[in-house]
Amino acid sequence: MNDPKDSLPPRWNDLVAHARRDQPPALDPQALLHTLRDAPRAQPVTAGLPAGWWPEFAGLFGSRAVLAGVAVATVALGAVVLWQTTLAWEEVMPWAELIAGDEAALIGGVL
Amino acid sequence: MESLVLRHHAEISRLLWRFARNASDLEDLVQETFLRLVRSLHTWRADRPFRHWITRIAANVGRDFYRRQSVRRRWTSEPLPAGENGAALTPEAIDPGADPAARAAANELKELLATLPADDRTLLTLHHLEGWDLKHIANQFGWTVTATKLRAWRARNRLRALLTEPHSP
Repeated sequence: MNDPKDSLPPRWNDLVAHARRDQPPALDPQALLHTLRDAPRAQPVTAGLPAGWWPEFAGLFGSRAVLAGVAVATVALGAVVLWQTTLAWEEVMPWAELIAGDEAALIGGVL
Repeated sequence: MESLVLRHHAEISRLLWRFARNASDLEDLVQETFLRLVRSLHTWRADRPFRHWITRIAANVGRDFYRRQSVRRRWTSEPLPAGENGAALTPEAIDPGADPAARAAANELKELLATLPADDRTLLTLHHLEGWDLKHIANQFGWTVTATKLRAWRARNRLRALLTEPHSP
C-alpha cells in the first residue's frame, strides 16, 4: 500500500502543506456555553448509541433497545409469514399435481 | 462544563475547521460536538483520557457532516467535477483569514475532496491534514486496520484521478 506509485501528485502535497497552516475563524466560547446551559443533560434519542451513528438513523429508531425490539419483531413476522406460506403451499400442492397429471394425460392423448 | 469548554474549545474548533466550509458550519459543528458530549457524559469512563474521547466525538461529528452533505447532494443534483461546484459546496470565500495563501489552499482542497465519498473525505482529511495515522483513524471509527488501509488506497486512487484530470485547475 505504500508503493511509491501510490504517491499523490506534487500539487496535492503543496495544497496540504499550505492548508495545514490555515487557522479557523475565532468563535466565541461564551455563546456556546450559553447554548449548553439550556441543553438537556441526557436525551434518550441518542443515549446508548455509539458515537458516529447517523443522526437521522438515531432519531428514527431511538435507543439501541428500540432497535433490538424492531429487529426481533421483524424476525418473528418473517417466521410467521414463512410458516403460513409453507402451509398454503401444502394445500396447493395436490391440486398442482392433479393439474400437471391432467396436462400429461392430455398431451399423451394428443400424441 | 465551563472549564471543559474553555479548555477544549480551541482544539475542537481547529479539528472541525478541516471539515467545515465556513464559519457558520464550524459554529454548528463545534456546538454539536459539545452537545453530544453533554448528552453522553454518563458513558465516559474515568480510565479513558478525556481529550481522546472528545476528539473522537468531534471526528464523528465531522464525518456525519460529510455524510449529510453527500446525502443532500445525491438527492438534489449529481455531483459536479472539481472546480465546477455550485455555491452549496463553495467553502469560505469572504474571509481570507490571517494567512490568505493558506486559506486559499484549504478552500481548494475542500472543494477537491467534496467530490469524493464521505468516508474517503474523512479519511483523507484526518490523515493528510491532521496527520493521524491509519491505525488511529481505524480506532476512532471502529474500522479494522486492514479495511482502513484498503479504504485509504482506494481514496488515494480516486484523488489521484481527480488531480490528473485534464480539466482540473
